[in-house]
Amino acid sequence: MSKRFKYHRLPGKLLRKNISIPQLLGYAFATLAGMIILFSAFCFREDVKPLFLSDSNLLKPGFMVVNKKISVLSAFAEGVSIFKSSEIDEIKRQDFVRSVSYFTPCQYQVKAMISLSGRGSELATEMFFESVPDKLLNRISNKEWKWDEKSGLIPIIIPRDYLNLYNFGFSGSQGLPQISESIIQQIEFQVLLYGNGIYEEFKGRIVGFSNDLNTILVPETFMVWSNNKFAGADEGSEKISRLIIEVKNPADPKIAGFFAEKSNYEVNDNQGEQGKLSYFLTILIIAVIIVGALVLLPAMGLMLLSINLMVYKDRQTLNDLLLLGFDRRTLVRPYSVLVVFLNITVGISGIVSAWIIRGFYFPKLAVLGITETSGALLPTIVFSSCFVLILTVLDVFWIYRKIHLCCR
Amino acid sequence: MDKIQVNRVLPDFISGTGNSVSEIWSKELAFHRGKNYLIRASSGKGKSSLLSYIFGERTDYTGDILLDQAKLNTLTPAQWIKVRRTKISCVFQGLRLFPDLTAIENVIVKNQLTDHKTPVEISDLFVRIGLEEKMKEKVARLSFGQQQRVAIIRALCQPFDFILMDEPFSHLDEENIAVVAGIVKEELARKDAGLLLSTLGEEYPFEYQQTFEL
Repeated sequence: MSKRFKYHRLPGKLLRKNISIPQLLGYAFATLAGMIILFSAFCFREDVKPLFLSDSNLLKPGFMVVNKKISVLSAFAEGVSIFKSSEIDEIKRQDFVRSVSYFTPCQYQVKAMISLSGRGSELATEMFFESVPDKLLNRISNKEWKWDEKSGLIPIIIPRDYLNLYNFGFSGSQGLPQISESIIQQIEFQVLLYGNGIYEEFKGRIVGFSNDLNTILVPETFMVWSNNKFAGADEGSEKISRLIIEVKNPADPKIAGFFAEKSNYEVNDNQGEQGKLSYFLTILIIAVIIVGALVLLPAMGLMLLSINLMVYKDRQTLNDLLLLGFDRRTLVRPYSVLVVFLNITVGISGIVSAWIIRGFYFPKLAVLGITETSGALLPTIVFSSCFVLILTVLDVFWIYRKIHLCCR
Repeated sequence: MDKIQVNRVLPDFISGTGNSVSEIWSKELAFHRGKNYLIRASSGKGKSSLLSYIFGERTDYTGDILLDQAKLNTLTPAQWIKVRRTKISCVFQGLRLFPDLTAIENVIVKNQLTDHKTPVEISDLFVRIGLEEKMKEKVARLSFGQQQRVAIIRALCQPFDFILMDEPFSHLDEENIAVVAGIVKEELARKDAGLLLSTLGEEYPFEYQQTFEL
């Protein structure tokens, strides 16, 4: 039996005699270097992912809110804090601007009320609504952020500071209970809208909190609908006091230069320190991936050339085996087995090396609040395995193609 | 497979030279299973070419060659594998043995594809051709005559309807020719197979139903 098995290896024995060990070692080391860089970059990205997915910002990355400074004059002269169309056009013309959107204010009166059961009291406040284009918002599900006239339920997002103000200021002084974010999202309250001679009651529910949009936000569709219904005829013209600017590159120095010139503008940079850090890390990771690719591409080229050379040197043997009645699949196998073995070995070494490198940098990420220790392992293994698989399929396909061309 | 038809075949290297006076080139003929054919010609007339065309090794010709009704140029790679494993065997003039393998490995590399002969049968054949001592010797160290005998044994390790032998005994003495030809005759009879044998002029101990001058 063992003898028979040995004889089954005869084609492999014939075809492996032209393998160049130095070439394969060169390929293995170059590929290993490229894979370590690539896998480490991926692993690092997985580690710092919480920064990218930070839930503190409601606006998508790359957006900033601009308003005019409130001065003493604003108190006396109406319209000082309103953007003129010429000013908006000037902003739109800047190189760094991709698009400009507006806050749409409600043009009617809003009152919110909530009954505190068991205490026989009621909290009520005058308030307002604003909306921004829904496409600018991050991490709000379409299901929640939807206005449906039939249900009469208005989804609302409030600044997180409002809740903090209540919990750490108001509730204590008034003997009221503190409320968590999850609890407040369960509570429905009454919302009264009146204007244009109409008075109507709705239900309201907080569906989220924002750190970067200092307003009480409702869905754009609700704002259009409610302004149509409740706004008076004389309140048709929009007064734009805040702009949302989408910039092409948040790190562009022209942005700071432009707003430094406009001393009466205030910029609330949505990116914040964390946003800038995420942006910087993204650039860093992309740069590292490019370096990894620059190392890997010549290594892959070397492997393809080695395959060409091996098949070329073996072409007589390959033809003889074909004339004996061997099929191409059998002839491809000795080379494929070699490539698969080599790529798996290099791939495993790459993953292990990347994990060892992670051991050096990971403790330093604690500064950024990242302490989860093993979350990156599985995604890194999956990514690396897929990469090795694709590389191997490419190599095997190349072998098959070369043998096919060689043994017509 | 019962016959090989050669219809108006003309090698490219003869085409246009006006040197096509031949009993095979540009003629229509058929080789039948169970019969022996001698193809005789001096060097350079295309004996090896004809056998290479039939075996699908070369395609530099015009005209058609058919295995039964199937034109060679319509066969798929999978069909060629079947033809070379079960329908046609070939002893190449250049032998096409693997010098890095031993004599027995050269035979087994074929037999493992077909599982046609048992190890005992193969050993017996080596004994009969007088190479039992050389079985484990690398082929590169054997004389050409010894290599020819190994190549013939290898060609017999498969089922076939035809066997193509291209100057198979050119380096064998009469005694060895008689032994090897005897083994080939036994196989031909057992398989009811046809023989296409090319020579420079020698006839060798076979009974031919037809002889062609190229």
